[in-house]
Amino acid sequence: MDFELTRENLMIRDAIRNWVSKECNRDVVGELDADWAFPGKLSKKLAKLGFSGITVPEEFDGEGKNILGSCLVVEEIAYAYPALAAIFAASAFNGGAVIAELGSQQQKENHLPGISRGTFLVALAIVDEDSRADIPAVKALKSDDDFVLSGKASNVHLADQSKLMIISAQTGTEVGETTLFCLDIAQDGISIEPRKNLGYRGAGFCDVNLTNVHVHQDQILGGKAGLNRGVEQEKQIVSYQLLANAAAAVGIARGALDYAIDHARQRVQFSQKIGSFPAIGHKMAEIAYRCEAAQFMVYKAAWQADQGQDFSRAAAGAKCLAAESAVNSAKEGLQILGGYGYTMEYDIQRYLRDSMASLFVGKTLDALKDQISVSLGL
Amino acid sequence: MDYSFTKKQEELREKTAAFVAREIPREVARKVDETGEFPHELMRKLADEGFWKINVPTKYGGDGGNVIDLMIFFQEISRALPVLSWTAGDVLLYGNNILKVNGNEEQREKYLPGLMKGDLLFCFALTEPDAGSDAANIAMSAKQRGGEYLLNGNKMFISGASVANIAVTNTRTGPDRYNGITSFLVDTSSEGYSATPIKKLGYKGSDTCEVVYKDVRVEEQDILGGTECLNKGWQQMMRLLNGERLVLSACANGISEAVLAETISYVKKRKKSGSPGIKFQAIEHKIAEMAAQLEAARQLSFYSAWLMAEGKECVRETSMCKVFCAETGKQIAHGGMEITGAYGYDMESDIQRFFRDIPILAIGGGTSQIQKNVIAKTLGL
Repeated sequence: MDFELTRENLMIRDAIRNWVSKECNRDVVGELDADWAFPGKLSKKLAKLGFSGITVPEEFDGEGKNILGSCLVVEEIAYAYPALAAIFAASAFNGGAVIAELGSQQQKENHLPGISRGTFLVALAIVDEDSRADIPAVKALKSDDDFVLSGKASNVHLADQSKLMIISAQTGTEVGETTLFCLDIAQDGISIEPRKNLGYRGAGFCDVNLTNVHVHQDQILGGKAGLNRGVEQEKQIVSYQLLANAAAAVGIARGALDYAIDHARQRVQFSQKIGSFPAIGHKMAEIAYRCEAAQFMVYKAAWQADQGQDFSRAAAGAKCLAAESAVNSAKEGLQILGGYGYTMEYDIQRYLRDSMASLFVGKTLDALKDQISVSLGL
Repeated sequence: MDYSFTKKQEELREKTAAFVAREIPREVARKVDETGEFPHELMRKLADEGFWKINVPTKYGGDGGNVIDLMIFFQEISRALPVLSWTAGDVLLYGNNILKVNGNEEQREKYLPGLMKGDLLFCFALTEPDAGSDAANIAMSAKQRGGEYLLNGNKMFISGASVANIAVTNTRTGPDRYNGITSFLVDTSSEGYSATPIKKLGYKGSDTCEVVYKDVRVEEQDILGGTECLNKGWQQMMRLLNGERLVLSACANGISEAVLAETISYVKKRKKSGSPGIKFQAIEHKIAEMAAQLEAARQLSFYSAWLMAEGKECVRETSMCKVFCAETGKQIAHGGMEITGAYGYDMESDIQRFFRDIPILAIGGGTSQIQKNVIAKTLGL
């Protein structure tokens, strides 16, 4: 057992923490959120920091796969600005980690160097949580060596800002005959409608409509061999996605906690700092230890991923605890800030709005609990 | 034991529900939330239909209703548009009820007719930047000068402050923490009074403001209850607390009812369209818990209201009621958001609106922590 981060990861964490404290200050983030603006400038600056290749093998211009390191980056960004963390994850996890692991040689060569250079976002349209259907809403009809895709995918995070979309489509008549395709978002027949959501303003969820989108079989994730292997590939992708979500949720939980602590240290009522009342202090203590537990679950799952072990169970548990922890931290934080917390001038309301997405992005907690219960032999 | 409402109360519920169904379709509620504008038009309609008479004693031309009638009204309105119940509070609570409980005859005769007609709005200015939970920490000064007072200071989170005609303003008139507070009926068109609305997470349209008083002049007869009530402001406020807690509980219950109904309708649709492999028991049990909690909240609130209406001691119960209903409301809104997932997270869903509205009910009118302090005290701790 060793709870220390490696030297490399400590350096990564300190560098990103430092960058976040300089670039993602409360005014900048608050304004972007109020304007429903996509943080284009910030994400370009972030790309220049050199973490973009953190999940990409060296042969494709990356730094070599470092899942724990990328979790640290996501967590530290989400601490101040969850929407920007999602943007980073769309590149490092949905892009780098997924394509390095599941892509064909050609797909790796095509996309990984771009991901390493930064600002190459990949959207995932693989689990339609809204309908919770086992069968994808998108159908792929075979025409010679190609496919024609039609249908609608809902709640695709950041589709409007992505270059590539990995989408699951029904390629047979049986349940499970599903194939994942890598679509160039600019392809003909794809239309994207961004939704307005409670949180993640400016970097939110989209409805994606596909009308006769022609896809070459080389665009199947993993190449031709990936035909009808969607369900199996999805499991691996979802684990990465859950890990990214969980790391972001830990960041939100810590960010909201520190924000509330700051207030409780300063706010005086009944001639004492409110943090010295057990009604507040104990609440914060609970938030802090839940937060820490979630953080270690995320690190453990990421460590397993880096060791090449199956981390699906760990990622599912980490995601559940981290999501609950984020929401709890933000909700109690708002209560501690009282009337001030309810105003848009204070950030705790943003943490609360953003945190609520962690209850369903990737997979809902109920779906994850189903999965965990199966792994318990039930 | 008799759990039934009077015929008059049933009629009030039906009338309010009919008003809601007719005048507050979803689009109207969403628009108020989106624009954040004070719902003047709906307030006018409520006035015209006689709702501002609910709690005015019959001798002043009102319907003579008590706190139970108020709760029925607030609960029904909150099911569709919570903020409208608050703006209604600018008439029913901070106007009618304050005058009924603490005003003198002249003040009642002066203001009640205008309030009932919908020509007048009041607001209640207690909270200050440094007097939140510690409400007695009032710093706003009121200095006597001849037959009038000069008010100076800041008030915070005062709902209705920029649209109200009269601001019931609590001030510091003496050094004693509790016996040095005086409440004034301040004409908001007075020179030196300025109110700036604050942007909030929810309850948008409540016109909640930061208010600055700079040498605002008030006649001494405008002390709430008259000159003999100088330094009696705290005691006057205490007489309002039970009613306020109950009405806020009714608001929370109305929101909880709306969230539960929305969530159930979402799950029913999902059960029809979803694939047979999906297990619904976990979701059903969550909804069952939400429903059970809500039922307990409703029973506790109407039991506490009955105690109050009967003139029995009820401080413990109304405090329990406030904390339980508000916290239950938060849990139910959370449950609704979790169960409806991406659907509820969309700005077009009403669930996220209710989710944004509910947190303030655990803060305003005494936070959950303050209610627990009160409960503990009544238990001899």
